[in-house]
Amino acid sequence: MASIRDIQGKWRWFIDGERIAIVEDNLSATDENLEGKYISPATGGSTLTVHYIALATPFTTNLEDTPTDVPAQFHEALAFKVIADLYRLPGESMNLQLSQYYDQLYAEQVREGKKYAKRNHMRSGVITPHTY
Amino acid sequence: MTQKELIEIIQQHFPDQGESIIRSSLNRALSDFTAKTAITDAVATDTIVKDKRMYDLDPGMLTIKRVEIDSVQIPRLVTPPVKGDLD
Repeated sequence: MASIRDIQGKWRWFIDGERIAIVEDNLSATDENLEGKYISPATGGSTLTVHYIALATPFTTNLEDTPTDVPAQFHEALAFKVIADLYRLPGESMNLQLSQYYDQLYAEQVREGKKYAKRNHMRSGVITPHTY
Repeated sequence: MTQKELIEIIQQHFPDQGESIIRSSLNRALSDFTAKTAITDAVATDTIVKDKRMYDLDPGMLTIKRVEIDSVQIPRLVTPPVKGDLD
């Protein structure tokens, strides 16, 4: 089985439109032969795993649906956004003041949501020891 | 909170709005919230095939956080290789 260093030295990825491309670093390629530096996988069978941020699954006609992709404390934010949008629509119910108020409530929830999404975020760093 | 409860909250302000209009507004709000907060993590897996360079991505994907081969994180190429391959 290949070591971590081997895998990290061999494989590369990049985005091409709506697809992800996986290439191998052709270590035998020389500088004069740049076009052969990254080649399509010469072997198969390895597992490709992509960790990503996704859009939530939309509501269906089932009224008992819950937005499971969004934590429960932010469910009300969705209602705030819809209320703000509907108060902006021209017509009898148009009320820009209320629209602004619900927009603010929504923006606050978005700020909290961003904090929540980064709750497990770790910064890498090295503590360098010093002698005095 | 269920979709029904959310619709009821909205209908307290807009009693004349129908469910389907509110549902499509809720779906737009859901997309907006998840796009702005990046709160929805997901994982997709595939198997590398010999001579196959391109793999389709989930259309609901917003940002790639990490790519792994056999559970080892691999680096991203800043610029695509000189020699292309449509497969």
